[in-house]
Amino acid sequence: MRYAPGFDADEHDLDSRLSAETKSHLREARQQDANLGRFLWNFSRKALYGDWGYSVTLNRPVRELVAERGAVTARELGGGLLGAASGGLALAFLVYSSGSGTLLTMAASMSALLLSVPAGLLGYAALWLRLPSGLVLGAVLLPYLFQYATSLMESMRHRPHLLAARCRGVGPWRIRFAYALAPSLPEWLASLGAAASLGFSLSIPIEYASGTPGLGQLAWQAASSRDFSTLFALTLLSTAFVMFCSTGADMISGAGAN
Amino acid sequence: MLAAMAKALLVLILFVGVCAPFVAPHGFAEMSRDEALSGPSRTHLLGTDEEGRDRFSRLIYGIRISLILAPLAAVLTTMIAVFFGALAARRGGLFERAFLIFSDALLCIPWMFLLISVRALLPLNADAGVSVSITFLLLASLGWAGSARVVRVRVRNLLVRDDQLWRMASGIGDARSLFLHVAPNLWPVIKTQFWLAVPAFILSESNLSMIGLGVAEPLPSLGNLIHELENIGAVRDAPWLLAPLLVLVLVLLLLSAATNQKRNETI
Repeated sequence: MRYAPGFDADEHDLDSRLSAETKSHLREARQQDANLGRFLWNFSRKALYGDWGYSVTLNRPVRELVAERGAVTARELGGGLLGAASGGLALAFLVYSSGSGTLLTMAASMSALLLSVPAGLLGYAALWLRLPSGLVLGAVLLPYLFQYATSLMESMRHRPHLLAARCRGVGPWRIRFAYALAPSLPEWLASLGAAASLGFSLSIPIEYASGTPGLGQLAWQAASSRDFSTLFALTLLSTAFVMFCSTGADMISGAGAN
Repeated sequence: MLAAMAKALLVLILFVGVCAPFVAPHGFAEMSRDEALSGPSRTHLLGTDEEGRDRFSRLIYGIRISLILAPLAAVLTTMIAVFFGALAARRGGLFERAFLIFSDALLCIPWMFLLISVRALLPLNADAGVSVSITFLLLASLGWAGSARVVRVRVRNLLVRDDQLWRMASGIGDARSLFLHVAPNLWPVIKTQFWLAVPAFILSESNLSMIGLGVAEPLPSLGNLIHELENIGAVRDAPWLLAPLLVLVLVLLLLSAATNQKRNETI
């Protein structure tokens, strides 16, 4: 019988160095999770009890790997997100306050350029320049957050409350802070959930390229060697993280709007 | 004006890609081992890679693959999005709820994790033709959720408009109303979603190919050509290695310039 590598079959089946007996044992070991549905069911059931499976590639429990590498990615993502959020908002506020078309064009061109470069390539650059991968993540997320903040503040420019404030003779800086920046903050905060999701996604090419031993690199290793326990544990974990971030961001923005 | 110029340049680049077999001086897999890693010359405008393949020809073929298949995947994903979005808005009730839950779930999974998880379920050492099909079909089949939600909202708004209610009252059938009245009003949204998907797919393919899970060798794509920049320090001695990156950035910037106006109009 011929086996094509994929789910329930891997490169070991094509490895001529392994004996038929070894291959048969490997296949038997996989029989427990013979189809994807059963695998997912077994995996989810065990995950509820804290058993995230065993990484066949790294020969360690997935839980240990996640605990070890999660800290690296958390630092990277936290730093990157914080930098991108503060930088994006500050830049957008600067562009809005100056009202300069040239500054807006320059900032928009810069962000369009950053959006056009694959994140993995920035990872290579980080490795070469010995920069932390969090900085790369920040650079990738910055244009998204800057563009969103800019469009939110620009949409405030002709809102009635702002025009009324101007008519009442409120000072320009107060208008900028209290009538343009503050009302756009709740919506902008809600976008941080999406930015966290994007950052988690982009941690894969960035950590792969920069050699950072985080969850992104682990996901790449798991996908390349079809280590499904690790891969599904990471996917579930990242999904839970994104849902947590989105819910948190929605709650903050909801509270701010009220 | 800027959008028109961007579109013209994009068409030119696409034309070069489509005509790759006639424009490229060498085949994308044609090797000349004696000339491996040579610098630019008259026969090899961007030099050769470590297997002696002409970088310029591979770049042209790479443009062909990325710029033809990414829009095709975008068409497919937009069609899926329109189908499910419109159906959810029209049917409502349980179907709409199920659609919302499913699309929410799909949107909650970080994009790259979703891509590599599904990619890992499929053969990893497939031949180049299969790998390129898998990559772009994967992008198309997983990237529709966000667009479908936009389409759903738009169709919903169109279905409760006064003119639609008037049509219903006049006894105009569902199918006729959907195709003759709703579809034309939906067209700008569909176009915008398509144009948003194209650069996203090109970038996703680049990232996937860079980590070795996208288009497989020997087929070139803009993504796997950039993989050569792994040793980015080599660019100081061989700046022509940057050519695929420059083309990719140019294509994405042109797409952004060409679609900005469209996006603003739709908003």
